Amino acid sequence: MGVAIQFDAATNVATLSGQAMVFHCHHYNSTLQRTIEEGMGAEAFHLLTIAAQEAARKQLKQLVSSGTSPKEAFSQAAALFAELGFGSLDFSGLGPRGGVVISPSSHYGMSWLVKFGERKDPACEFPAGYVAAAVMVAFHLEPERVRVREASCVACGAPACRFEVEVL
Amino acid sequence: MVLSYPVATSRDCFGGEVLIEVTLPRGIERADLERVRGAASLEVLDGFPRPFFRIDVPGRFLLTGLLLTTSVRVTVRQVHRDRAFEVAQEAARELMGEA
Amino acid sequence: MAIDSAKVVSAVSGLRLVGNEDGLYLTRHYADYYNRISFAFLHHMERADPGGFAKARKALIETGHLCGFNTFGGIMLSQEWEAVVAPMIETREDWVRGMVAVVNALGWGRWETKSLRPAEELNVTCANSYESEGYLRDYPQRPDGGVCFLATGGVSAIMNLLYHGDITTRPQRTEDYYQKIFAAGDNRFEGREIACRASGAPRCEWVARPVQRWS
Repeated sequence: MGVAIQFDAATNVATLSGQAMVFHCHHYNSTLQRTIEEGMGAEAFHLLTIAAQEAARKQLKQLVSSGTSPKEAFSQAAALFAELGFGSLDFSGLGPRGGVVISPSSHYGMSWLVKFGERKDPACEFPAGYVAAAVMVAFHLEPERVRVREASCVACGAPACRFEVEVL
Repeated sequence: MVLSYPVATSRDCFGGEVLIEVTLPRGIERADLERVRGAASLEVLDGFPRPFFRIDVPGRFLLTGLLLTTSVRVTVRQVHRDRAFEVAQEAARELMGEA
Repeated sequence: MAIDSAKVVSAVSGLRLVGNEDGLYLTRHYADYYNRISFAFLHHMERADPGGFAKARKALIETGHLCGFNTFGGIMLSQEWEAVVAPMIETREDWVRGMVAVVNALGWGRWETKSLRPAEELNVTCANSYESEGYLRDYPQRPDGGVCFLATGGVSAIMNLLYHGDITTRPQRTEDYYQKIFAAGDNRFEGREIACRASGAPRCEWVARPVQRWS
């Protein structure tokens, strides 16, 4: 795909397809996630996932041209995910009614494991939201029709992160 | 006898969990960079006040350093995490032409 | 002045900082994502109890503080710093200015050092911090309280790294070091946002001073 981020030297703002992009490392990402999870409890999962879906969907809608096949759309989404530093996504197990997406390496999953050790519940709310956004864009679906659940996570000891996708 | 260079480890945000700094017997020359096997990209940013290089060997390591200095940082890829020191030494030996 | 900020920004921008295929550890992330989750958390805490804003602010600034300890500390000990910034450094204060210059390459907005009193106070302003930009776009202006939590924590982190601890001696940035330098002692620096665009100010302004001087 080739990520062409525009950096405006007058404002020091970097954008990609209308989205302001900021550098942050795993320390901040995982610590912020933990802060919000501790403060909001069960409500945090929905927030973290929906926020990711919102941001990613806006960007992917701009990046993926209309008329692009779902397969190519997923390829672009996976390439972007990797280039932005979030890890890898394998969309090959996905169809128009849903399926499974595997992340052999997830920034959020690995970061949590490295910083805080194993946890009981999956850690990849951001990737879950990103996957949902990719499905919406690839199949031209409204957000209400897509549900993503992380069924296993490296932060819980699994060998890879696995997302179950349901299209209503 | 396999050569072994002095090392120190740390973690940072710019590469991976195991970042190993290897002390080399001499300063790094530009010609040394070409010896690293399997490099997908080799960048030398010599417009900087101190020329900086980065060599990416996918699936093995990322090497970074400053030309003419005697240390190189080896960011070992996750897949080799369990033999990180060995991989770092391999990288250093390739750089020094002793592999 | 020794630090050429424009050159630092240009050089750092050209470094092609990207994450690797392991998904570790640097991300080029959505400002909107950070803002949405941070501000939703803030509003949730405000609704939950009268002291909620203070609790949320403290937690979010501390997250920024931790970010600064790890990220800024890592940057200052990196080879990239050695290559680009270190040759321009003449004084300890240049470390501060150099770090602010590097921040300007991270997409966080245009940070400017308004004033720096060595070991006493750092004042940084910004007309377009990504946090206040995001808040103003999506929420009504606030009557009180700044929203630039990351930046506030980051500014105090710079001062703690250089004047409470000493990053120039290349310490190991362990949990113990964090507790000693960032979390303890009356001379540790604390950051506060004294003006924020989300509350109507023309620029956001973050000040770090030793905690005992904030009274």
